[in-house]
Amino acid sequence: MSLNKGENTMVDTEKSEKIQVMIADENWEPKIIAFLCNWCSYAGADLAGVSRIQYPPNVRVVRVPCSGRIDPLFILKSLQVGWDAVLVSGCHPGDCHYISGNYYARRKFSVLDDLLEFIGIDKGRVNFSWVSAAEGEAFAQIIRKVTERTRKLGPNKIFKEER
Amino acid sequence: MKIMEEIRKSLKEIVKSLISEKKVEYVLGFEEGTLPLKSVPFYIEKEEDIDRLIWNEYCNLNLVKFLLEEPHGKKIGIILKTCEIRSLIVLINEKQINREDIIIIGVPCSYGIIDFNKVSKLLGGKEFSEFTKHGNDYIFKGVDFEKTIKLQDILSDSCVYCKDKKPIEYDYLVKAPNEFKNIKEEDFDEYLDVIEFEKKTPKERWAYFKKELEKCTLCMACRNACPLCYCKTCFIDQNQPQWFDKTDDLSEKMLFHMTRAIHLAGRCTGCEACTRACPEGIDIHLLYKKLRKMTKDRWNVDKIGLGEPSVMGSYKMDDPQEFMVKED
Amino acid sequence: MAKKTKKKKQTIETIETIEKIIPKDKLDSLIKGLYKDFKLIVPKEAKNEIEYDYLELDKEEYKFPEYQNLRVSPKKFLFPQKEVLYSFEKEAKKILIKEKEETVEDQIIFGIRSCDARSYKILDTFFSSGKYNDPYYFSKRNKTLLIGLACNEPMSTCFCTSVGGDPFSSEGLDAIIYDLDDKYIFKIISEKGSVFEKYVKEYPNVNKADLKRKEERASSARDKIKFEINLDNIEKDLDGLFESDIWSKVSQRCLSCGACSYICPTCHCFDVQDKSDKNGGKRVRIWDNCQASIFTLEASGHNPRNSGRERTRQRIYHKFNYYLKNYKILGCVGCGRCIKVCPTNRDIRETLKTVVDVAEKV
Repeated sequence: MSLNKGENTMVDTEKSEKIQVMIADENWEPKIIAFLCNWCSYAGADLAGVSRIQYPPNVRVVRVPCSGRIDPLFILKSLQVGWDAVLVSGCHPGDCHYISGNYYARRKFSVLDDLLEFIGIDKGRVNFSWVSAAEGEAFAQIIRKVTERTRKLGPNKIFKEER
Repeated sequence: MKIMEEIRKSLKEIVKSLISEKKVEYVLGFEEGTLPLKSVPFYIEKEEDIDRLIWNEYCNLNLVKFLLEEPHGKKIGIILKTCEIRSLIVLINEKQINREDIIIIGVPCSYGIIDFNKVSKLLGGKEFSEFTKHGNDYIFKGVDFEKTIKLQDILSDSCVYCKDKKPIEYDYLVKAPNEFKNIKEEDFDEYLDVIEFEKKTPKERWAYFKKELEKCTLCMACRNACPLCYCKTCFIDQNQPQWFDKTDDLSEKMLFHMTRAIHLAGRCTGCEACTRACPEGIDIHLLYKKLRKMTKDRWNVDKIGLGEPSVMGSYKMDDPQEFMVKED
Repeated sequence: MAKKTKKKKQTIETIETIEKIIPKDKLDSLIKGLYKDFKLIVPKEAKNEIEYDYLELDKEEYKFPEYQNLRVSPKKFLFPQKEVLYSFEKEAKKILIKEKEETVEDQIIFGIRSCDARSYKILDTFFSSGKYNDPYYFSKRNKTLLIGLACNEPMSTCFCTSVGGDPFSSEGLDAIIYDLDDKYIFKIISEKGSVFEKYVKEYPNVNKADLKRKEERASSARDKIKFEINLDNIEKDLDGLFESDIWSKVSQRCLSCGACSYICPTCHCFDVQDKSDKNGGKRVRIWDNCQASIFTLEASGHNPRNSGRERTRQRIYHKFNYYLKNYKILGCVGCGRCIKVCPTNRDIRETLKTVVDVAEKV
């Protein structure tokens, strides 16, 4: 993100309005990292690809065995390194390949979501969804939604560290 | 305060019976520190030591931390207040301590514990050489000043809003001479300070946390004072992979405290030993109090009893999931 | 030529005897005068914050506050908590290393106590030991002048007299101010301090009565330090106590948190980290503390200082034994900050007393 190199980037809300104006000129595109569970969401994403469904190219995918594997630490570290948004997707409740991984994940992520809102981070940087292996179109819709939401929020200045 | 003296007398009798009958190897309590308004953890092993035991508003550490280093099978007595008994219960549930090894002496809390950092702030950082009590007013004397401060202004925040005064699990209970009330006169919601904070805008909340955390030097006193932080290798010290490199960025400090809060979700009992241990006087207690309010609002459980399942280690089929992104 | 040498001789004489009286209300204007020409670091006026600290003066209005000693030591101005050593960048197939470009201004630390000034001497010996001088430290140190303020009211935790210091000591200072209630005495100590001569030229010289009052003040300040211990034999005492079991007792209540190392004006351990991504980055030096449980963790997984007992012992030995062996000076200045900041009220004075008592019995 050459835009952010060398700047003092902990959020300064007066500055971020100015930066918004800069963004529009610089053609900034949101960068989204998606942690997808291997059995359902990753397969759903793959189905979207095979069916030639178009969705925005802003997403990079990381495959994990189960959504319960995701430590909130991964999400926070992604935000620190510079990703603009994070998406975590797992199997629907009751369908987890490891029986109950997604239930624990649901609890973990609600803690993270509530705490992020509590300290004042804008909602929409961290997203969670359930996508099953047969839901190619649903996956594409979710990606479109998340990309638009992130585009409105602007580049991630909150946790990005000084480089 | 006369009530404190009576509690201290009953405590001394209980400790004496435990030590003389050799039921325990030692009893953990507090003794007077080398500076005014400071107390020191005290391992009582012999009967001659019992007179040095104290019990008052500046016994500010969570003694449960010191139990973690002891091997299983060693019988230990410990003097605890309600919030600390709850953290001991969490440790017993997580199988770090055996219930049979510990003899809990439950003490009812009076108005609460004084936060030394708050005193320092109100005195402008100046040193005081002595203090006297006058009812609920404290008079601090220093080199060239004398100041009277109300107890309510220097109590730990968790104590100001506490409604949980009676010990819930104990082997011996010191009876309070009369019912201990909270320092606030009127009735209030236990999470009032969190509710007040949530009324602010996101910008104000972020500005508050940013201002507090800029002072942090990542000394880890908060983590080391917490009895529930007992990982042999904390995530911040991990080398492979190295998540955080402990440089002075605000993002590092923010993420350390956020991640520690997430790791304590459902476990933190609000004893506030972390806030009182901080050498920079950072007020971080709101983040941890929010955890308890959140578990209560979402899953209807904010205080865990002995033998009950942990909050993050269990689930219900119909947990709320309103934050999910759904397709249109 | 003869005239020139005569003048030189004169100036050498005057450096040693510049002692001026400054009226109480003129101190702020003296600070203003210095502010015009130097970067000034002064004590912050703290009303109700725990940030009882130094600040870099950025505006002319400033009132010198009353204080005993500041909670934070001025070590961070010469040895910051985070310091970039150099940066590197990938360009085509090469890696470019860029030295840090930093313009260091002449700076004055004003109002420093004698214990903190002596701590700089200890840091100087550490950063210049061996073949190489640390350039990052010395680039700032060589441009720093110290104007001290003698201690009239030592705090209850001070014990500088036991470790070779004194509340009215001028060791390590370039100039010192003595507070005599209704006026100040400004004395230039070192050659470097002769640059202050022009700022105090207009004030009158001291007389014998003032100097006598200064001596009275000095002895009353010394009397106020209640704690006394004889540390003449501390090196030998500690030599014989390495395997003693007093260390288990002393470390029992320690939380291994590190608050004491970070606030100590002489603690200087550091860690070096790389902050980089695939295109470049920088190498950063940060404070580290020996009380952390992983401080001595080796790549093999072995940790020689695995428990609090070894770490507490190491801290005492470093300051009171190894420093004497290596540099012939004590590594502690007796400021007492560690006592104030420890969450479990571990008192280094008690530890020293235990060591001396146990060594006597042996």
